[in-house]
Amino acid sequence: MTEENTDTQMVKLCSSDDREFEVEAKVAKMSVTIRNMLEDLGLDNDEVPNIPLPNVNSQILEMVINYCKHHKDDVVLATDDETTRERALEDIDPWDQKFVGADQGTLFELILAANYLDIKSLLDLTCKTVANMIKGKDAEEIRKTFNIQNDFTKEEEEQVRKENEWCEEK
Amino acid sequence: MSSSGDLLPPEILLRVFQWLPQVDLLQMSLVCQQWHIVAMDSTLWTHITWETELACRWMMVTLPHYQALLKRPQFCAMRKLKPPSRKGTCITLNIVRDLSESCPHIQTLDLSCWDAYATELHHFADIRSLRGVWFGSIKSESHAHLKLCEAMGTSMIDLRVRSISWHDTDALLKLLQKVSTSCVNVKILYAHVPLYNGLCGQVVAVLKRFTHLQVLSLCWREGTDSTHWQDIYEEIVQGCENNAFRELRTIVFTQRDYARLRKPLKRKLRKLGLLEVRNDPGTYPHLFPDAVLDYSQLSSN
Repeated sequence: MTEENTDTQMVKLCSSDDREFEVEAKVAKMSVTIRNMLEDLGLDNDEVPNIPLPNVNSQILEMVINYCKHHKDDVVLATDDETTRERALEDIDPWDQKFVGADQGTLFELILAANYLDIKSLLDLTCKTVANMIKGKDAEEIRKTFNIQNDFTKEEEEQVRKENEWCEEK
Repeated sequence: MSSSGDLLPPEILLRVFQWLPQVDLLQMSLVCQQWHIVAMDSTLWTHITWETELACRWMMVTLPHYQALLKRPQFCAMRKLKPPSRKGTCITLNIVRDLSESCPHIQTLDLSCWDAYATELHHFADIRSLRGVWFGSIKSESHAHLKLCEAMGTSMIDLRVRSISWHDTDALLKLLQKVSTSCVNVKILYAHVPLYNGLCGQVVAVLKRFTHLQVLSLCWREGTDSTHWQDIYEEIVQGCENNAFRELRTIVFTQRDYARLRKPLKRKLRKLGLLEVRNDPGTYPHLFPDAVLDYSQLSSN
C-alpha cells in the first residue's frame, strides 16, 4: 500500500474511559507512539485498526485530536540553537495560544498526554505555555500559582540562596 | 497542597525549564527540593548566557570567583567558557588546568570581552576538548592571540573575532595569514571587523587559504561604505563558481547586514544555498550570532 493510501485510511483511537474516536491515519500518525503501533500492526487489511490509549481520557484525547487536525499539514522546521530559546518563548501562534488557554489542570494533562503520545510540537507548545506562566516570577509567587509546598528547611533554603548569589543584583 | 513539585514529573519539568532564561532558573531552584534538582540540571547550564552575565555584572566577577563557581555540579557539562577579564589578568597553566578539570567538555572559549593586551593566552590550549576561540579586540603588537591559535593548531575549528577598531582589521589579516598553515581545520570563521576600501583582494586571498571553511561571516561596520564589504562576497561567489571554497555551505548575516545586500548578490547567494540570516545580537562586541555552537553539526572531511 502506498504512503498516500495509508494516510487517508481511518484509525480508531480508544480513550481510557472507552470512547472511540475515528480519525485519519495522517492525523493519528503525528503521534510517534501511535505511528509505531500502526507500523507494528501493519496496515494492509481493510479493517479499521483500533488503538487503545489507556493513559489518555476522552476529554484530553479530543483536544489532542483537534490539535493534530489543525497541524496535520505543518512543515516541520529545524530546531534552532539553545540561545534562541527566549525568542521562541514569545513566538506562539494565536490558534495555539487559544488552544492551550484552558485551565491549569487541563494544561498539565495535555502535557502528560503529549509526552505519552510523543507529539513533539504539542509538547513544546504546552511546556512553553508553562514556562511563560513561570517566567519573571519569584519562588513564592510560583509556589502560590502551582500550589507547591516549600519543603526546604530554613538552612537549606539559605544554602540555595547563597549558591545563587553570584547572579543576584547587589 | 502537593507535598512538593510533583505535579509534573522531573523529565517534563526539565522540558519546561529549557525554555526559561537562566536568571529565572535560579528562582525556580528556590521553589522546592525537586525543582532545585531540575533547575540545576547540567544540560541547562552548558554555557552561561548573556542575561545571567548581565545580572551578575560580569565585569565585576573575578577570575578566582569564576573558578570557584565552575566547581558547582551544575556546570559539569559546560561547553562554552567565558572567563571574566580585568585588565592585567594573567592566565597561568594552573588556572587553566583547574578550569578544565571542573568543566571537561569545554569546546568554545569566549574571550570577546578581553582586552587586546591580555597575555599568556596560549595556556588555554591546554584544554584538550577546546575547538574554538572567540576574540574581541586583537592588536598586532600582542602575540598572545597568535600564540594561542598556533598552540591549538589542528584542533582549532571555530575562530571568531569581533572588534570595532580599524587597527584590528590589519591585525586580523596578519593573524589569519600566519595561522592558515597551522590551523588547517578551521571550519567556522567570523571576521567581524571594519572592512575598508581596497581590502577585498587581500581578504579573499586569505580566506582561500582555509580550504575546509564551512561557515563564514564578515560584518559591515556602521559608518562605512558597504560596497567594499559586498565586493568581498561578490568575489567569494565567483570563487565558489570556480571551484574555490569547496566546503563552504553557509554565510551568516545579521538581519541588519542582510538588509544592506544588493539584490543581485542576494540572489546569487541564495542560488548557491549559502544564505543564513540571524538576529542581530547587539552592537557591543560581546556576542556573535551563534550559528554553530555544536561542532558535531559540521560535516567532517
